[in-house]
Amino acid sequence: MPEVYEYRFVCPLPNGMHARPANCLEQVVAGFADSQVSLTNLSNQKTANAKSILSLVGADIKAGDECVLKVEGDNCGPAYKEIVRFLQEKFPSCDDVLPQVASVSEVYIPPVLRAAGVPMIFGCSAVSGFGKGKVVIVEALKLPSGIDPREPVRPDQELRKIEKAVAEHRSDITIKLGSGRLTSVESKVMEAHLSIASDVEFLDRVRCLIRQRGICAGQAIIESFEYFSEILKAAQSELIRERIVDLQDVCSHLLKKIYGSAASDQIVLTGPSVCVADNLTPSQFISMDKTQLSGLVLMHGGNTSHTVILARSFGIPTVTGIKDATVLSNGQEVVVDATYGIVITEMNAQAERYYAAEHRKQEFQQRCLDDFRDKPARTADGVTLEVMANVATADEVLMAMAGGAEGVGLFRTEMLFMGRDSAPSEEEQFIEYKKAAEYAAGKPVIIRTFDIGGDKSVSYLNLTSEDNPFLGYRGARVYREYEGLLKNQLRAILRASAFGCLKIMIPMVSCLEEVTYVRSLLDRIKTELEVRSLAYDKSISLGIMVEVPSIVFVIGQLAGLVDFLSIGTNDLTQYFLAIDRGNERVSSLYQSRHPGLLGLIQKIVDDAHRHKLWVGMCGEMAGQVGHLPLLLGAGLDEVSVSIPAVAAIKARCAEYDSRDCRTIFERAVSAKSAGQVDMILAERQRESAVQPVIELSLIDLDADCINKEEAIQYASDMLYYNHRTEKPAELEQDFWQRESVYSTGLGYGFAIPHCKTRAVCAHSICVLRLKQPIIWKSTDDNPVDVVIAMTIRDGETAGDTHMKIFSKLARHIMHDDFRGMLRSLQDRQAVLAYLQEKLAL
Amino acid sequence: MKFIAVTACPTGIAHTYMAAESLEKTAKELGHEIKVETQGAMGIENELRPADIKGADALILAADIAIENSERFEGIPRIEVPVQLALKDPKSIFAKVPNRS
Repeated sequence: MPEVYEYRFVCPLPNGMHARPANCLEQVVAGFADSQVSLTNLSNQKTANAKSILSLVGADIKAGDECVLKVEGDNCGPAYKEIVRFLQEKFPSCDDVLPQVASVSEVYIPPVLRAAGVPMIFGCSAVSGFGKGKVVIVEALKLPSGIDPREPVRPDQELRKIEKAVAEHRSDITIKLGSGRLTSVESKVMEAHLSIASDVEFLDRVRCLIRQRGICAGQAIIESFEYFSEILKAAQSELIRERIVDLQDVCSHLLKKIYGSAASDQIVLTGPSVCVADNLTPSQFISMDKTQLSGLVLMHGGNTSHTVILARSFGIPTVTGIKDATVLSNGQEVVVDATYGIVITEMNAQAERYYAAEHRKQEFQQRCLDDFRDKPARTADGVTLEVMANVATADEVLMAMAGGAEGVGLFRTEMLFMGRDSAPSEEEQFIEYKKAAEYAAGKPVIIRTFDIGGDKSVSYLNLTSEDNPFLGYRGARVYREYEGLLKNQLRAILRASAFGCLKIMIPMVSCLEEVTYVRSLLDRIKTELEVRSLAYDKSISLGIMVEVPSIVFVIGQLAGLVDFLSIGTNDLTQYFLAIDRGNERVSSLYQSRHPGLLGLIQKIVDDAHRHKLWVGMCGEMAGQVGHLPLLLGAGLDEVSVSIPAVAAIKARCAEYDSRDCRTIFERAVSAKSAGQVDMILAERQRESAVQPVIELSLIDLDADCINKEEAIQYASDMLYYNHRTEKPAELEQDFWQRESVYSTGLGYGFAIPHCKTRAVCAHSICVLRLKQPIIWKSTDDNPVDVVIAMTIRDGETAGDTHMKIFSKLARHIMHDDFRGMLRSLQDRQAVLAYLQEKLAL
Repeated sequence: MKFIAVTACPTGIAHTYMAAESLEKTAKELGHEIKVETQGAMGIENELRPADIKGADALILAADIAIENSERFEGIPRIEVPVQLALKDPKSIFAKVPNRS
């Protein structure tokens, strides 16, 4: 008996039904071949076949639209139940949050660039950064308007051509995906194209056109493309309209498969280039030599187009939404400044000076990173702390290495297992782990075996929902039931271990049996690999995550079974303090600086070291610079943190003495409350924050600035180079904000730009004597040749003794003799000594 | 003559103190007595006490923002000027002395 079920729901996706969520839904529905599944958008009455991504996308379902799912067919009850379960549980979270793009009206142009008066065109910043190169205009990929078959059409033959082209194109993509040469972002985009290339609605339409109208395969592809692109074009969501390019990309490949084509989508770049296009297809982007690509300028293509997502993953400065790109011509030298969403079409000397200054800052930043890259994080008394990174893909390993990480302390493998309808094969995992090992170039990579269950579920494991998933069936607890899955993963890791230094880590261990089980499995696989003469690292380390408090008290018994421990503070904290972080009524009690928790950490580290086990920490607690005295004081061997935090942690280590830290840590462990621990840390912070208000490197007696804009940028950059600000552009804006109240030129050739700002980490005074006098709009209209820039760190309370220095300086400036000395003293040393004397520093 | 003054500027970092210094310096040159209260980033310094206020001939307010505790000065002849004037032409301020009513 045919049955019909209906289910009403409201679209929960913030970006509506675009290709990615449609892909997820399609994959669930595709499993029920005997049922017809449709989805109607009640807000516009469009009905989609749920087995077609294009059709689903075309229904233009936006966040909040009411929809009806209809399932029809014989015995379709189970199908209905499964799909509804998906819509309720997985569907709301199957999309990534997309970054927001600033609109044109918010565009801020740095004052120096504004003063340079160069012609520029405006767009939106999609991937920030700047680059200079010659314009390469890429013609829009156009499908021919029609195809002349030249010979009589035989529908059977045309249908076969279609099947062959689709099969070939799919196999091309599959080969690319398996080649191990694509980044994970490239792979995701290619997977989406793979689904489009086999979309049922699209292929049905193509076949239908061939059969009913007797037209040739190419003509049918073109007409089907036009049909679907009309539907997509009508969509209100830009995200959906952008999918036209993906469809076009696939169609052009199919045409090429059938008819061959001289025009290749390979774009050859010779020398630094800025690629200008109406809309670049992902294939075109992938084909380009990214080392020659200085920037991208797209007329269309928003923040969510696959090409922009690819550009972001490669860090290519990209400006989109440029309305009038016709002013650009091939070979013209331009600068794409995506930080501000502009393209400068004609440079002049002043703008060149601006970009030279920006370039110097970039190089400086690179040099600072280079300094860390080769040096371990070391405290003032010479104790080292290994600083590693947390990653979820092999590509991130490369980023971690570039960011100065000494290895990967946590490779979460769940990404490989989630968001798909079958487990990844051993081969697929092997490729990923091998890439990770190679990218790390001999540095350790700790791969955590899959931690599924709890809040992380996958459709192909039969894990039922639980009332209390964090205390339920997850982590190492599911391994016996899914032994095959674990063996595949261990085998993949072992095989990849031949290409670098991999280590294995087991999550959520609560008793020894779980460890002995994985160990014996590992030994069996090693023997098996030896029989098959496959290479692997025979001394590969095995470790566990310390997340469940019970394991803390059997560390002695673990010795001999494992080689290392890594404290997973997020789960350890919630289990130890019995706090569900998601529960608002108790989340304030989730305190990573609870003295009891610190005491537990002390026990873990001390016991581990007593038994000669290496012990690290991954989890949020490790990544906060403010915790550094506690982490060093606890005596951890390693911390594993997010990639951007690596450099910050490394840089700060030298500020501490490990013995001081031990004292601080011991005081914290015996503190009465987390609040008291915070006070102990704050006290240390105040003591360490003493940076002199002025130093030699903040004095320049021959500053090369040609106008007020440059002088203010120069002072901001000076503070950046002296590690007093991380955000020179923000600091510059704060100076200008004050300048807009009234000019800080005070006559006598002096100007005192100043601000109270969050952008600096220490109160600072810069002294600039200029090579040439500049106009400042001073009180007496005389040009300025001495600039004294003052910055006060915002958030200080009145009564701060350091601030007295500024009022003293201000008072001195009113005196002729003081100004005369600043103008006439011979060298920087003399100026510094004079200021120190006058300001009683 | 005996002056009292209050200086205050938007950020309270520089002009408040430059103006105070300038007023003190100029008063000395002109042979006046003066006490200047600064209301800057460090709060109120050199605060004007009732005794200072009582004996004053005039109040100079060199401020670009509303000052605190202004009710203290009721009934005192006052000269209100922008902070910048105290830097640019302080003598002109002292020339503006109003007559005590």
